Amino acid sequence: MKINGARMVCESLVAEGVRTVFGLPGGAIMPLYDVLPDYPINHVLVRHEQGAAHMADGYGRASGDVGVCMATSGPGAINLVVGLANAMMDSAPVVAITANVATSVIGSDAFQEADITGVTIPVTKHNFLVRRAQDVPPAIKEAFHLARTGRPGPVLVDIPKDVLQTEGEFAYPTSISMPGYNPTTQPNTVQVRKAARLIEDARRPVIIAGHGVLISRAWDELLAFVEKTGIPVINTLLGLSSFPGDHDRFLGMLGMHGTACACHAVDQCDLVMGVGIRFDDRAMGKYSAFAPHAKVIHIDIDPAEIGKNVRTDVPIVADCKRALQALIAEVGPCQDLTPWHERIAELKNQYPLPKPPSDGRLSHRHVIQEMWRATEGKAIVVTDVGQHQMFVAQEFPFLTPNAHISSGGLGTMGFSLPASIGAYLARPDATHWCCVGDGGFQMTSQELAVLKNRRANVKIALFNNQFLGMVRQWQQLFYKGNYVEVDLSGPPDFQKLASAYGIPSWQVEDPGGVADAVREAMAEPGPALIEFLIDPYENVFPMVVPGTALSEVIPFETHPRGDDGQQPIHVQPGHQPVPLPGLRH
Amino acid sequence: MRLTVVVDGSRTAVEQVVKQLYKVVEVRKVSDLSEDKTVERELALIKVTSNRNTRPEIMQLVDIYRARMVDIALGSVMIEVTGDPEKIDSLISLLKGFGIKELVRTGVVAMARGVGPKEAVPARDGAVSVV
Ligand SMILES: Cc1ncc(C[n+]2csc(CCOP(=O)(O)OP(=O)(O)O)c2C)c(N)n1
Repeated sequence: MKINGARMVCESLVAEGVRTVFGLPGGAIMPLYDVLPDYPINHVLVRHEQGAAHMADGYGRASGDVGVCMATSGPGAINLVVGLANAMMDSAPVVAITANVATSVIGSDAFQEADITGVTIPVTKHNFLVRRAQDVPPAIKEAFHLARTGRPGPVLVDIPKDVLQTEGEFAYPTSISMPGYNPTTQPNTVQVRKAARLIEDARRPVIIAGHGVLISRAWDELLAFVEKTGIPVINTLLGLSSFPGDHDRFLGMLGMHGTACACHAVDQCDLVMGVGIRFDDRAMGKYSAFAPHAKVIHIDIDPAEIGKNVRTDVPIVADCKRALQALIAEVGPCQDLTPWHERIAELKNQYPLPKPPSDGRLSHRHVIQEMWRATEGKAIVVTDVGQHQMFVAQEFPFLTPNAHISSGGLGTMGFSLPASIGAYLARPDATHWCCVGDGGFQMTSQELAVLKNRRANVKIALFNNQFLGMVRQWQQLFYKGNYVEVDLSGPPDFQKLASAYGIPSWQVEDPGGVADAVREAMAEPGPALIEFLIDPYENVFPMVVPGTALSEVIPFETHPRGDDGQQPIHVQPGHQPVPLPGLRH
Repeated sequence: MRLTVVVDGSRTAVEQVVKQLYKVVEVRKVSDLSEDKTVERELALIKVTSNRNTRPEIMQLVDIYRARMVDIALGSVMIEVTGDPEKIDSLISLLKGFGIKELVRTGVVAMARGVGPKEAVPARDGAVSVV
């Protein structure tokens, strides 16, 4: 079959099972858009290419398969970059297809030329510049293989305009040859045996389960492993929803704004079993004081993560699902963990999450607790970056797997709305909430048009605290309350903004009104937005102050206004109080 | 194609470099040569100011260093030298006295020695070779 490069792209996408792509056309990619309607591919016209990359990311994570975005040369391609970097940091399976100027003028600063393969080397798993039409199918085949296997990530395929226009013989390759790419998925049995012995001997073990569990769809295995061994489970931010949030053995999230119980449990444990995690600094506190009494088992598919941040006693390079299956089979009778379970129950008791204030101020916690009740903990929740993101992580115990999607590694404000749209298109039958701050929302709110056009059943919880909240919190805690350029009060009127896009909206300012608004918004058949006027000075606690150990976690603050009857900051006996300007101890 | 990368760092840093190199899709094999006995070579071209008076002296150095004079012009000579980086450094420092007009060096290529009787050549830290 002789077809042009543009048709080869479409044929290849169809062969890869792609049904939805996100993009926006321009000069160089017009040959591709010209033929796209001839194929059974649903194209979502975004309003900014960053949106396309995040939608592909959200689509990829929610579906477990590759999300695809497209952009034209130069500015279009460059607009994808932050989304690719985000997908890279969070191991999301994304393929980006960009057009470039014709091969004859590459390198001449032609109109809308950008060296996008050069630009994206550090933020993609791999990229291709395709110089001949016959190279299009193998490049796309390899791109999908790379994006979805091993540790997933974004792959970019850049195709010059003349290549899209050139005809060639099309045959989709049936095999790939990448001798340098061969991820290890099967665990080494010797290592599995060593790990099993450590697990059997441990008296105070914990599991830290991360994004790898979701990527390898190993939630059933994780649950089975925990049911068998009784080991308590802690999640990283991106690991949330890999373990039932209402399970007795679940301790919540670890890290800077994790639960105090999880932080202390890791500090006191004698075995850390990291499953599909990369021991990120935001989750581990001060590395030199991380889990000081523990041996470490580290399961991850990426060998470069082993030993990168913390010392490892038993590394298992493998797909989490297979590693857990092997461990379930290998692990024999364990120590009696009752004393450890009791200790953890004590910690849970001693350090509940802070309660929302009852003096009329609206807290993130009121909203998220209500959202949880209304959805029975079974929604797909996409969060942006900032305070609200941490509050969701604390207050929404996920009851269904793979239901939490957030920008973790890169912390990209503006991620949530487009990612929500992607997640919705991947799983239209689920209940979708997009949680976003007033800062991040303004970075990609143009995608409300897509939300509306697609009648996407996504409810937006807009946490309007009139500040770049997380930065304000840091300025309060670490810069003596010197608030510089964090004030977002004033425009826009978010109610009018929603109505400009034809999206019904509510505004809630007291805790009593939350439940009704949530119920009404959920009764809407399509998109809806609720603006919550949050206490501008609410801070996220617990907090592990940067540079301190998990054991030094501050479980809650004495509210600066001191009128909510909460107890003073608890400091562990034997630890120095952490000096926090602006806080009373 | 095979590249030799010289890295300066602790054991764990070098290990991390090796692992990161493996993540580059085109890379098939990475050998960490820091623990091995290796042969390391570099090539340099050095253009040195010279006149009739200094040329014999330069020739002598070239001889001692088993280098070669590859170009002789009115005011300068060009020397080609191969060897390990220390040898090249030392020739350069001796030639500085005559005035070096231009200098180019390739960077090191390295290869592990075979098994069997080994010469007493010390290994240098941190050579990593990438294929
Ligand atoms: C693109 C981008 N720019 C800057 C930051 C730094 N940053 C982290 S959190 C934050 C504040 C976010 O404010 P908002 O979206 O209102 O959410 P809130 O913290 O109030 O919940 C900022 C500016 C970022 N993460 N991403």
